Amino acid sequence: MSTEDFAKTFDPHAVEEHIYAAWEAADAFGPSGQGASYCIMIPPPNVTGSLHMGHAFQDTIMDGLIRYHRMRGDNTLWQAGSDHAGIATQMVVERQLAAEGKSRHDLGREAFVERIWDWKQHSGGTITQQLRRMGASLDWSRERFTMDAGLSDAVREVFVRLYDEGLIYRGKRLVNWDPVLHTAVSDLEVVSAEEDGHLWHIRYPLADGSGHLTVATTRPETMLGDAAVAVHPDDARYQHLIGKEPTTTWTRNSVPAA
Amino acid sequence: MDPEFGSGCVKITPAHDFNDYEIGLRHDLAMINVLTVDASIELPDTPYHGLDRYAARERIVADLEARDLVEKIDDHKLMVPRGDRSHAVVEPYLTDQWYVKIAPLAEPAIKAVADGRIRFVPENWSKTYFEWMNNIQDWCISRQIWWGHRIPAWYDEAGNVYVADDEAAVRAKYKLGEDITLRQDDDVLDTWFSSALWPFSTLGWPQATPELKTFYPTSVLVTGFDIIFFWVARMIMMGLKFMDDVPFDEVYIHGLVRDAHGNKMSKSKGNILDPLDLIDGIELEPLIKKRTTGLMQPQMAPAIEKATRKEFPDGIPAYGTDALRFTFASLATQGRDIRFDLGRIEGYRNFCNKLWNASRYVYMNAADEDCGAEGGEIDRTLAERWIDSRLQQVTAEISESIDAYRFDLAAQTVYQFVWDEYCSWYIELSKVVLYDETSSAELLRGTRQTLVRALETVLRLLHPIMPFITEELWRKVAPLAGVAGDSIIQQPYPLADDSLIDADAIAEMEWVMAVIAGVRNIRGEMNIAPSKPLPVLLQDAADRDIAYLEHNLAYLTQLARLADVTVLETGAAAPESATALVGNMKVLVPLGGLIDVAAERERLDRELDKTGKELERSQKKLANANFVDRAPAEVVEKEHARVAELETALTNLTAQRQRLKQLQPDA
Repeated sequence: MSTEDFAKTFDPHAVEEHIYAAWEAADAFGPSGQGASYCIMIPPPNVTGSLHMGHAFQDTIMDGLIRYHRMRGDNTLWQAGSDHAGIATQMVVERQLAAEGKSRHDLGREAFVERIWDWKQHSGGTITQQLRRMGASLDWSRERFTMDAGLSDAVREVFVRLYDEGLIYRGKRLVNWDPVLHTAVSDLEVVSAEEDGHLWHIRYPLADGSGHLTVATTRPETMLGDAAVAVHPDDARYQHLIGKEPTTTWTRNSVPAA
Repeated sequence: MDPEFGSGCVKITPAHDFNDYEIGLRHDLAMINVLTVDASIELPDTPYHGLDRYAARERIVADLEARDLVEKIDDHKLMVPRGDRSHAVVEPYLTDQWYVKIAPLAEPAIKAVADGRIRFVPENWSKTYFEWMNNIQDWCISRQIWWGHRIPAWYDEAGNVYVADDEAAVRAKYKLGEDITLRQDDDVLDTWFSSALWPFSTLGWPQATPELKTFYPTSVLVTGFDIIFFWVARMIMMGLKFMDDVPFDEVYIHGLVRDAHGNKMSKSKGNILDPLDLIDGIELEPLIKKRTTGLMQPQMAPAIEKATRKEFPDGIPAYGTDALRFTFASLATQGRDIRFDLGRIEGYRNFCNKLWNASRYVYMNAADEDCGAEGGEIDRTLAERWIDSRLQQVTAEISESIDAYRFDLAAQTVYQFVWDEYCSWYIELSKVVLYDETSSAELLRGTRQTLVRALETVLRLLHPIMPFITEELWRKVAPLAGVAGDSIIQQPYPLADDSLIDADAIAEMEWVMAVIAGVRNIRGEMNIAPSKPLPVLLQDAADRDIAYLEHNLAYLTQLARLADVTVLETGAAAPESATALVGNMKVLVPLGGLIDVAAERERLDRELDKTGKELERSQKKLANANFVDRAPAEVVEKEHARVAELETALTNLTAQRQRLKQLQPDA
């Protein structure tokens, strides 16, 4: 019996990394060029990110599908790449600058962006290494980045074409505004949670001196921007007041009750 | 508005509230912005000018109180929106932004899912998609940061806007001379803008590359339900617009990975598991350090440390990547939540070990031996015909499961086959041939060939889920199976061959397994040593049973450790025996003289007494309202489970005691 090359127990560490390296060296993950096309795009992880359980789960499923189809003889591509993750990445580098006592404004826009590219060069590959540890058979030779030259071309092309067709416009709208980062943010970047606060019941005197309306608000400071006071049209308590003008005593304008 | 809320009377502040903004638009109200970009008050003719929003709030309330304009102040819980990066309270704020007019893009995207060109898996996610798409708003795509795709728009001094690839293109496109000064827009695009183009931009668009031609539309998108709108929908809209085709044929939506108790994993809860720690292992102290460093609320650290010490007293062992992947696969049901607990990954590490040990057994028995790879006559017993038949069935089931995105079912099927059928039965059956000095060369060759071929096939079946261990084992096993190649990765996935399914062999083997399992159960119940050979009587045996018996006497004798087998004539009396039923046939193990009745009686009485007392204790606990009301639901549930368990044990013990009494009435 030949037992010398068959370890008595399974030691994952003894096999995983050298097997992955051998696959990569043999260029085993690229499409074969033969058979029906099978392609999955990896949801590009943030370049700042590290692998969490959600990624690991999702990558297991994708790699399972990719390996299955590759073995079925399909022309199989698992497209690799990462996302530039605007705010997240900017903040990582801003924090580094802060540790040096500087802000991005000290550097200026061009130098700051340069610095982010530097950071990406040296520290942006964590998650791609971790994906390798998961055994993910991504075609690394085709790895893309959402800010690389080709993808930036695609972005400009799309923007210009949509603009020329009238599908992109500029307008003044209410947005989610982050007063620390000084930028609009998407709903996905806003986390709403219940917190303790107050409900202030504030009397708005009527302009004609005939009494007041009581308004309940959680944000008294924004009364400075009030444009109106509203009651339910069927609310018997307020029928006699509809059409009158309450006023926030110190501001310029009285506001119509509607 | 809701007359029941507050005073039934609300203020309308269109520039600082999303609902009020809509009302303001409908009623043409003034949009009065009172804040700066820092959320300080910007109203130079008021005393609040320059104050932060919260300082201004205090001053305003104080001033109102001074004028007796505050009726009352109630404590109130409210939803507060915070930026996920800055943790600052986000303000609804009026600004100039860039927008995508979305309705013309949404319409074809709705249609593509409605007419089945894109299929959601599970299907019900399409409802979520339609709901969002039918209420879609124009997309704000500008961000006031520096890192990102800078918006390709330029302004002249009069504020006219020009859009093209770059400044030179703008001048050419709009015929602007060098005398006109242009300034590029400072904003960058929302990160999701470039993500929306991902399925075609990565393949080389806007160039017409061979990759685009080959791989677009892609086959499937695998993603979580939280970004169906932010990402999935936008890729569909952009793909249809610019590629004139869907970006993917299917969207597989998976659940969210939660901890063992069903809680979302988060830094603040201190319950995050790092996949690399599961692969490599981590000691308790570094794990605590990791979980308690960099908390937004450092005061949570002691509670997190305590919970971590309790849950992982010895840290986390190294499970390896394959066990982790197999766990994920087995959890990939179609549900919304994926509960991850260490018990499962430990079980699948054991599965890796089982596979390793089985392969080692096969290797030791097949390497340097004739496995039929070079040809030569072979003989196959029932066991070979059975395992080959089952392998075909299992192969078909696994492919079906993967094609339907049911990795959980694929994992379960392959696990059961490898553990219960290949290892527990086939390997044991193979020993009957391999360890028998009288086995013919043909029989040895056939057994070895089946052992290595079935194993080689199993490794290929498993490879997509457990790539590393299967590669390592395949390199050793494949040559024995006569398969050439450098790596399992390019090997063909097994295809089921229905012609190899031998229904008779399956039926016969099921009979063999049932007889052996019956005898083994009797041993267990009657506490008879596994090494003790037992005499067995078969009662009510049909012709088929007798034929099966004749074919498989060697298997039965060795695997069930039988002394001898006697077929009882119809109507013949049987001695007092323990019984197992196989179809209509009874497998009898006469117990006289086999067991030490006195010792067994003592053991059973002792067990009965102990179990009865424990049951009483648990029942008392559950009868105590104090316990039921106050203990955590989990603990109460556990107690209920314990009662059920003890009741079953008690029933079994009582039956065994009864049997003993039948055997020897004075027992």
